[in-house]
Amino acid sequence: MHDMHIKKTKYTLEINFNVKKGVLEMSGSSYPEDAMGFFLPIYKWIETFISEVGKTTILNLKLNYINTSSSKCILDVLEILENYHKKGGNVQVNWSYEKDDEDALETGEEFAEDLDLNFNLIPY
Amino acid sequence: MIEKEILELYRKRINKNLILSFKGSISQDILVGFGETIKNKFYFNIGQKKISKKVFAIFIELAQNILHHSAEKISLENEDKKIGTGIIDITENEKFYSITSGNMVENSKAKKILNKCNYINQLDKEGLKKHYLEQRKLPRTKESQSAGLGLIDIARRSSSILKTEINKVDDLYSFFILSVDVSKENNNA
Repeated sequence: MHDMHIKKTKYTLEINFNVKKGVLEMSGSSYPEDAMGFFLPIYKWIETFISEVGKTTILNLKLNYINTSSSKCILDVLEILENYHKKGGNVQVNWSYEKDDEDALETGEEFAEDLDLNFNLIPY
Repeated sequence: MIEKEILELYRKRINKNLILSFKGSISQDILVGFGETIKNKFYFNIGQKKISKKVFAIFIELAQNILHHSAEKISLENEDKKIGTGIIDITENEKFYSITSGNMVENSKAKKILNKCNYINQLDKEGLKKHYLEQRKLPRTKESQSAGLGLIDIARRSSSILKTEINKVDDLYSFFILSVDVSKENNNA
């Protein structure tokens, strides 16, 4: 299985998924016209990673602005990891937010509340 | 005398402290460009980062609403898809920024949209949060990739009510206007 790298654009995220390290990084802004189109290969990669590699997984999220359809897609990503966690997988989610950005902190808190996952909220 | 009319319009608009005004089909490229315009407008103003983010986010949701849901659509050349047409305005006065959008909707959907806005308007901060999280868990529909989260998100970010107006155009369509204010006072950071 290969690493996944997608360069960021003004309205799509940068993706750096590293198989060997088990570190999945998503950063930037997300408001594409078709969020599902962007996220489908990402779901697929993570599902394959869980079933084929199945090691400790760290998801680092550093999201600036995400629109509502992207927010739903991020929830999908987190639910895939939540299922893995429920089956005994080791999962850690790190949510980085700009320290004066209350909305970004709140968005992180809401994902944390909504899911059964180890969730760190990290100001930067 | 179209030049004179445009000049008149421009002057009138300047008096209203217009930040941005657009009428036409809203493609993703146009929306991204306007998003940059909004960011630039606030870029040099210290202490307006928070309000800039809010205005930007509300603009994106409203613009994407038009792109996806306006009943008036045009086909794109060389692409197998259609994009919606509408108007979108951002104005400023002493107390707040106002973001307003307008587009055609099918009469059959107008009532549903109004009901949704009215339901959102009677919720308090906690109620809005709960409603947002519940809706986010719902499956996507054929009509909406975001399961209808846009209006709730706009209400949450603006902390104002959704001001709506529907004007029937003919037997099939109505013109739907949605406007929200973002207060300058509570959003300095």
